[in-house]
Amino acid sequence: MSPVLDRLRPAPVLAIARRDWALQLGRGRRAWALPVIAAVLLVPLAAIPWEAPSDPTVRRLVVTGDVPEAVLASPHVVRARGPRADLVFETDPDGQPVVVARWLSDAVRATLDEATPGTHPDVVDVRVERKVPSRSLLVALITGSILTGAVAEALPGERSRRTLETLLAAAVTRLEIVLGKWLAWGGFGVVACFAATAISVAFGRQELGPWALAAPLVPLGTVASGLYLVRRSTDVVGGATIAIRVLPAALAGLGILSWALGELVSPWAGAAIPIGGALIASGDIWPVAPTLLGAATTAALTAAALVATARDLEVDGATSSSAGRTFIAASAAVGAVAWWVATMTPALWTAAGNPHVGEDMGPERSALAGVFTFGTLALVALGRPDAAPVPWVRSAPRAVLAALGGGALLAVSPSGADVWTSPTLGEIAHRMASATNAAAMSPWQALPLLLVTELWFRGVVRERAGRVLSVAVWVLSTAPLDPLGGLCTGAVLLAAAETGGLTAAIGARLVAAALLTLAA
Amino acid sequence: MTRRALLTFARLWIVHVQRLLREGLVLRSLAFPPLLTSGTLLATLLASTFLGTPRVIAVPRGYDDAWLVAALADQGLTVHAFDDPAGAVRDRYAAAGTDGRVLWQRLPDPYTTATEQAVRDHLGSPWRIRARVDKPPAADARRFGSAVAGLLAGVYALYGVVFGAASVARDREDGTLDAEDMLPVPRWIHGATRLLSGATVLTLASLGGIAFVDATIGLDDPMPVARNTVAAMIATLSIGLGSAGRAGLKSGFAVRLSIGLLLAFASFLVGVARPAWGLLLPVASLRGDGDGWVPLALSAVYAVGALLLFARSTRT
Repeated sequence: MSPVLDRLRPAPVLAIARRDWALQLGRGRRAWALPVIAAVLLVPLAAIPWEAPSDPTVRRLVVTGDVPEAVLASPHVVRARGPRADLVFETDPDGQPVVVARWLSDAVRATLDEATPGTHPDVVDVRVERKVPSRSLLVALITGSILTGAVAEALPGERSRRTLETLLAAAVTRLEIVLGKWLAWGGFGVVACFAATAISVAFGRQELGPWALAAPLVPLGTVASGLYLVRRSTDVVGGATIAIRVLPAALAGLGILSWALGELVSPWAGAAIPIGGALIASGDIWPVAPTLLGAATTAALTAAALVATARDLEVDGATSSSAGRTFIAASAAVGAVAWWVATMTPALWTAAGNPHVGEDMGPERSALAGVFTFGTLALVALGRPDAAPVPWVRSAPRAVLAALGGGALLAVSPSGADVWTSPTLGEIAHRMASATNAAAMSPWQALPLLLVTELWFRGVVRERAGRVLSVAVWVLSTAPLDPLGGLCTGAVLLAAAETGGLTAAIGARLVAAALLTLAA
Repeated sequence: MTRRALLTFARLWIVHVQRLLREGLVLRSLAFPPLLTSGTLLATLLASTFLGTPRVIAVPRGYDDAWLVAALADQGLTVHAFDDPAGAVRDRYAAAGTDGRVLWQRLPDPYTTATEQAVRDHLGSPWRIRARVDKPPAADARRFGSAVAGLLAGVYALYGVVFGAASVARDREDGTLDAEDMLPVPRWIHGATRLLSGATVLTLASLGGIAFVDATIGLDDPMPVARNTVAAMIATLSIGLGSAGRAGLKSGFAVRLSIGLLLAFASFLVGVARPAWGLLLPVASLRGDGDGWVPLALSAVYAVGALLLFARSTRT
C-alpha cells in the first residue's frame, strides 16, 4: 500500500476539522460571520421566484423604411428612431417588397407570407430544444466560491503558525491532516448546498432530482483542488493569491468546457470533465446517467487531489527562487508573449473573417500596451535588491555620434517582412515592424515606447543577460517573423547603447524615424 | 500635515510599493489575468483563422439545380450533399439546408438568411430578402471590449481586497505595524500608505490590462473605463483594509478575508442587478458605461472610512 494511505483514523480527521472551525469561525458573534454571509447569498437565490428565460429567437426587432402595417403590429417589432435598424424594408424596381436583414424572425416572415399570397419556402426549425440550467447550478457555484478564504488559510496557515510540524510530530499522518481540512470546509460547503437545495425544493422553485447528488460535489471538489494548489504556500497571503487567481478561472473554465462538450458532442463527454461535469449536472440539464458520471469523475478528482496534497505536504513549503537568471528569463518570455498579443491580434481579425475590427487598430494601440508591458517589467527589475544601475549616458559626444550614425544605419537596414507568401503572416510581420517604428506613430505615442523598450532591452536585459542574449530577446520579442531585420536593428541599437548609453539608442531611433519620414 | 509627516508618507509609500513589486507571487498574480484574457482571445482567433469550418449549406443527395447552387456560391456558401440534410443542420455539419422548396434552419443567422434569399429568388416569391452577411462593425466589438475590460478590472478588484487585508494582517503579525507606530506621525498615515501603494500597483496592472484589451479588441473610450477601474481599486483596497480589523495571519484572517471578498463581489452584483446604481457606486460601475467621475469621488469616501477603521483597530 502507498505510504500515503498507510494509516487513516477517523478521530484525528474529525479533531482537525473541529479545530479548523474553532480557529477560523471562533466563538461568539464571530462564529456567525461566514454562515450569515452564505445565508444572505444563498437563501434569496434558492427562494425567490425567477422569470422564465425568453426564447432566444424572440427579441426586439428594430425596423425602418417602407414597413407594412401588419409587420409593425407584430410583437417585438418597433420602428427605428435612429440610423441603426435590424430590418430595412425597400421596394425594388419591379415593385416587389424587399427586406434587407442579417436574420428574420418567424413572426415577421409569417406576417409577410400572409400579406403577399404566392409561393413561399417552408422554413423548418430543426433546433434541438435545450434545457436551461436551474438555479441549483448557481447554488453549487456559490458554495464552491465562498470557501476561497478558508482554503487559503487551511494549510498555509498551519505552516506559518508552525503548527504543521507539531501535528506531524504528534503522529498525525499527512493524509489525516489534509482530510481533516477538507472535511471542515468541504463539509461546510456541502451543508450550505443542501440547505439551499432544501429551501429551493420546499418553496417549489425546483424539483428534487439526480442533480442533488452532483451539486454537493462541486464544493467538495473545489476545496480539494484548492488545497492542492496552496499545498506549498508559506503563508495565508500566498495561499489567498493563488486561490483567487486560479480557482475562479478553473471553475468557470471547466464549467464552460463541460457545457460546450455536452452541447457539441454529448452529455457523456461533458460529464467526463471533473468538477465542470458536476457543476453543469447540478443545473439539472442532463439525464440521470451523465449526471451520475459527472458526480463520479468529480469524486475521483477529489480523491486524487487529496492524495496528491498529502503526498506533497512538507513542513517548510516551497523555497522561493529569486535567481536573477530565472527572473530575467521569465520576464523576457512574458514581455515577448505580451508584445505578440498586442501586435498580432489586429491582423488576425481579418484572417478570422471580420476585417472591420482590426482595420482601425493602428500601431499606436500596440504602443500603449507595450509601454505598460515593458515599462512594468523594467520597473520591477530595477526595484529588485540586486539591480545594477543602467547607463543612460556614457559620454555626451559619443552619445550624439552614436545616435546619428545608428539612426542612419537603422534607416537603411534591410527587412525580411515581405518574404512571406501567406497574406496573414505577411501582414503580421509588417505590423510588428511598424509597432516599434517611431515614424509610424505620433511623437507623444512614440517617445514613451522608445524610452521603455530601450530601458528594457538595452538596459535591464543587457545588464543582466549579456549582449548576445539581449539581441536574441529583441529579435524574438519584436521581429519573430523577420529575424534578419530584427538582428540588424538589434545589433545597431546595441552598438549605439554600448557607445553612448541608452540616450544614444533612443536618439538613433528618433533619427531613423526622422529620416524615414523625410524620405517618404 | 507637517513637512516631516509628508516626507514620511512619501517614503513609506515607496517602501510599500517596493515590497509588493519584490514578491514573485504578487507579480505572477498581476500578470495572470491580462495574459489569460488576451492569450485566450489570440488562441480563439488563431483557431478561427486556421481551423475554421467552411460555410456549408446542406442539400439532398442527387440535388442538381445548378441555378440555386450558383446563387448560393455567389453568397460565399459551399453546397454539400447529405443523406439527411435536416439532420446535418441539426447536428451542426451545415449552417442551413434546402431542397429548393423547404429551408431547414437551426437558428436564424446571416447564412440562413442568405440561403432563404437564394430560395425565394428561385421560387419567384412575392417578397424577397437581401441578406446582410457583412460582419458586425467594429463598434460591436468595442462594446464587447468594454465588457471584457470591466470583467478584467473586476478580477483586480478582488485582488484589492486581499492586498488591503493582507498588508495589515501580515504586518501586524511580524511586528511591522508596531515599528511604524513608533514613528511620530498620525496612525492613519500607515493605513493611507498601504492603501496608496496597493492602489499604485493594482492600477498599473489593471490599466495595462485595459491597454491590452484596447489593442486586441478595441474600446470606444478607454478613459471612463480607466476611471471606473481606479475607483474600484481604491474601493476594494479600502474594503480589505477596513475588514482586516484586529486579525493577524494566524488568527481569524480567513473569515475577515472572506467577508471582504463577499462585500466586493456583492458590490459588483449591484451593478448587474441595478444598472442605475451601478453608474454611481465603485466596483458596481465596472459593469456600466458611466464616465466614472462619481464612483471615483465615492471611492475616496470608502478610503476615509477604511482609514478610520484602521486607526481604531491599530489603537493599542
